[in-house]
Amino acid sequence: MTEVSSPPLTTREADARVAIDVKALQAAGRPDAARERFAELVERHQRRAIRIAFHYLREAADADEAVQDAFVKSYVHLGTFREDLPFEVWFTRILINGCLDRLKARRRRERWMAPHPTDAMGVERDPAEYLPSRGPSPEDLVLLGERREQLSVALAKLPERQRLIFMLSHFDGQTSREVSAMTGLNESTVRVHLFRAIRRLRSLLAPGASHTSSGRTRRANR
Amino acid sequence: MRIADTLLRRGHLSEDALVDAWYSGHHPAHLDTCTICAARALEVSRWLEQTRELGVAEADAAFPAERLAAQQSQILRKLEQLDRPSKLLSFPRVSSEDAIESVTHGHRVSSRWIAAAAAAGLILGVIGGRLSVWQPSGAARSTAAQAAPVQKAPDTGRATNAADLLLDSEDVSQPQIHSLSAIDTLTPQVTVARASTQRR
Repeated sequence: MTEVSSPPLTTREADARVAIDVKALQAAGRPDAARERFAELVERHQRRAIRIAFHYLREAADADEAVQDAFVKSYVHLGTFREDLPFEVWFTRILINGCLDRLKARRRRERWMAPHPTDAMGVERDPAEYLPSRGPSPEDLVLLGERREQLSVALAKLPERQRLIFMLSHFDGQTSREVSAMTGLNESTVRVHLFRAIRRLRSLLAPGASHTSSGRTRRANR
Repeated sequence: MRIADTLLRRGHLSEDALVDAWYSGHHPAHLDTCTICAARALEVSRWLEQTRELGVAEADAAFPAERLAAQQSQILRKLEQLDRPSKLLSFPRVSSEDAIESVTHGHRVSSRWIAAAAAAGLILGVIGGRLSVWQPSGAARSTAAQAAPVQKAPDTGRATNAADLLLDSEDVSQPQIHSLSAIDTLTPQVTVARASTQRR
């Protein structure tokens, strides 16, 4: 007698099944089991969530809190989750909205706390330029560290929407349709923003472009 | 191939088209015939791969596995706090009246103490009232005895009511004020008025 094994579930199917289980357990008044099941979703999406939040917020502590809040919110509001939409998309929407709120709050804080730093010429400098390097790097990784830093600075110079779409498309590997569902933007708009972001980044990261492009970037950001 | 590429770039692909090809995985046929565009496509794809690696590595460096584990446990702890009903401190049992009383007065006083205080206040009030009634009358008698011992002595048996007392006072005051004697003679005496009413 041969055993009939079911085909392996895709990530989306597995997510949907877990979400349905958690909802049922919450409704049945079994919070311990619901949390245990929900931990699977946390484990599966935590890494990509932290990448998105980190690149969006450009601050590790803020990104950490944003991801935690997004998971808690998604657990609390799991009753509103529709199975026809991938959990990944639904969760990413929650995460992006949370990140956006944090960015707004940060801007409000910065407006009252301290003016933007200016260089000797009185030109406003981007705060991302003052970001400390991420941990000690050995000598053989100095070059890699510099390139990361350059990319970080260049990303910080992108307009917010372009940065978000570039992040989701490029770092997270989402298709234009998925990004469209996550952001609520038109699919063609997503593609336009992606191409613009790439063009801009390529010009910013081109050799010798770091000093000459800053003025142009500031104008474009306005 | 796009019309714009044919017209503006002499048939070469735009950078957006190369980027799109990299994302979609679609391989334009032009790349098989044009070495220039093939080289550009290779350069674009390298750049895209490098930036992806750099970006991912930057985020992963900021969040190593230990930090992710700590974050996961924090998330689960928060969820546990959400699921757990709020902890209430247990207070000693009180009746609803006492509870209302404690809310309205800010502190709780036993009803027995209130009753005892009220009773004590009543007793003290009664005793105090008695003392205050007795003391002035005794004192008045002693002062009156000291002030006019001569006038009071003959009529002690008659001074039983207020009218007699008034009469006594009139009798006493009559000879003392000489300036008012003329008016006194004109006004009728109480004794005369009483006698006339009795006769009627």
